[in-house]
Order: sequence, then structure tokens, then C-alpha cells
Amino acid sequence: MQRIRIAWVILFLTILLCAASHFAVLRITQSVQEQLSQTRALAEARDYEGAQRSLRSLQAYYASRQHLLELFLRRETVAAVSVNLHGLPAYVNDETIRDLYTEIDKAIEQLRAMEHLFASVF
Amino acid sequence: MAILLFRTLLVYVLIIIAMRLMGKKQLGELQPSELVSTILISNLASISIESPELPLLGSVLPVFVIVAAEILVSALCVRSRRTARLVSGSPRVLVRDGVIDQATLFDLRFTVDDLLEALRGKDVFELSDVALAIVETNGSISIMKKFEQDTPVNQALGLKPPAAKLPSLPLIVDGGLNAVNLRFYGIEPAWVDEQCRAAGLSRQEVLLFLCNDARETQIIAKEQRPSAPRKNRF
Repeated sequence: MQRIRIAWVILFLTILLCAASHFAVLRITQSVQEQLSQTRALAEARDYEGAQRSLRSLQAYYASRQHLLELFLRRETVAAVSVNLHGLPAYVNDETIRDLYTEIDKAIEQLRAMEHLFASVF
Repeated sequence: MAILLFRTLLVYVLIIIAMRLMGKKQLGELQPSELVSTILISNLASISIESPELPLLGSVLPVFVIVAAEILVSALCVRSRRTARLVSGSPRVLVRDGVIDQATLFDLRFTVDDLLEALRGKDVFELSDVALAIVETNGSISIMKKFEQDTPVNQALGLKPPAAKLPSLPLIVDGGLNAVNLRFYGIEPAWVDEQCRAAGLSRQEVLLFLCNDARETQIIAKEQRPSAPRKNRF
């Protein structure tokens, strides 16, 4: 009888953890995607200073959440996004602005793939 | 490398907890669902040890989900015979009164050699000696021999039962008292010490003290440990 109770507790905790992880991963990836879109908008308005600031805050945000993501996702998948985000500031200038757009799109796509890997059943 | 070591130890401890949760049933003959969970758990446990890039939760979580599912399914099987039949199947009669049920044999995909091997494993060398052979849900075969071929029991032979009905249990092992066995037979430590003294030993000098419910004892004293063999020097 005690084992059955423990089994129910394990199932309950597992479901709770799954829900929490789902919520955390989707919230973080959505937030990063939004910030990337904002950075792109700032760069399109030629506000490079603002875009740099936005990228710095984005990197700090992602670094603070990376450990949480690594609890639920492959470490290399999480690290790949971090590497991409750290490469973005180098493209914030007139000459490489098109590369910045491409890299931002790439990062957004990477985050979507991460969401898909985490949340899709099949 | 340290992470690998830590992960391995952690997985080892967690799998021990998981197996303990599933109970002793998991360690003997396995039912189909128990076999499935054991195979899955062993595979899942190795994933997190082999692949440090994967999150530990990725394999620990499924292990505990399988443990919980296994416990709940077995609890459900206890309550519902229909579920038990669905999950584990039902026993099938393979030999009745020395005659093989060939339809069942074919249905279970048993060859005659498999059957004869199983019978030999149960010390039955003649098919005609078998009154009933049943394939249990865990795949083992239970055999009932015919009356003429069966081993007679003590009652049939008219033997008188011995004074002790329960087996001898160790009350002292290597000088230490076994409190569980003392309680089981309702024996006081003072009585044990008295028996030791009667044998000319102190409790610390006893290697093994066996006693049954008729208070029949057997005391084995510790021997002097042999000294290390001397090396021949030339």
C-alpha cells in the first residue's frame, strides 16, 4: 500500500516537473525570440547603439537561464544558441547589417527548433 | 571525468532505489510487464552514463515513471483479474495425464524439445510420469507427477514430526547478537550467554550460535586465526 502511494507521488511529481519544464523552456525561448525581433527592429531603424544594448541584455538574460535549459535539453543545443547570440554584436554596423538580419533569423529558427525538439511528441 | 563519476554513482543509487521500490518480485521470475520495465530501466540508466551531453533528468525521469507505472499496473492486476490476464496472460496446460496438448504447444510456439528439456529440468524423464504440466505466465513450467511416480510426503510415510518445527536461526554471528532472530524465537540474551558459558565460551568467542524453536542449539567457536606463512629464507 505504501508503494502504491509512493507511485502516485512519483507520477504527480513527474507531471508537475513536466509542466514546469514546459512552461520554463517555452517562456525562455519566446522571450529570447521577442528580444531578437526587437534588436532587428532597432537595427532596421539604424539605432545601432540601442541594438547593441538590446543584444547585451539578451546575452545576460540567456546566460542566466542557460543552466535551467540544460536541465531539460541537450547541452550542445543550448550552447549553440548561446554561441550564436555572442556572435551577433559583431554584425551591428552599416556594412554587415544584412548579415545581422540573417544571423538573427538563424538564431530565431534555432530557438524554434529547440522548442520543437522539446515539446513535440513525434 | 568527475561529472561522469558523479553521474554514474548517482544513477547507481537511483536505480537501486527504483528496484527497491518495485520490490522483491522484480528480482525473481519476471512477468512480461516486469521484464519490459527491467529492460527499459537498464537501457535508460546507461544513456545518462554514456552521454554526458544529455540532461540527467532525461533518463532519471523516465526510470521513475516506469517504476510508478509498474507499481500501479501490478496493483491494478491484484484488484482486477481481467487486467492481470491482459497484462500477464494466463497459465496454459501443456501436458495432461501424459498426453501433450499439441494445439497449445503450437500456440505457445514451444517445440517438443523445449518441453522435454523443461521436464528434464524438473527431474522428469518420462512423459508418461506427468499428470499435469502448466506453462506459467512468467514462462516457467510447473509439473505435477502422477500419483504412482510422485515422491511420498512424511505424512504418507507415517513419520513422527521432530521436536523443532522451525529451522535453526543464527542468534550469534561472529560474536554479535542477532536481535531480530532473538525476538522471533522469544529468547533473552541472558539465556544465550548462559548457553555459551555452558560450552566454555564467552559471547565474543562464538563464531556461530544456531538455535531452533525447540531450543536445540549448535555452537561453533572461533578458531585462532592462522599466522601468516613464514617465508623460507636461504
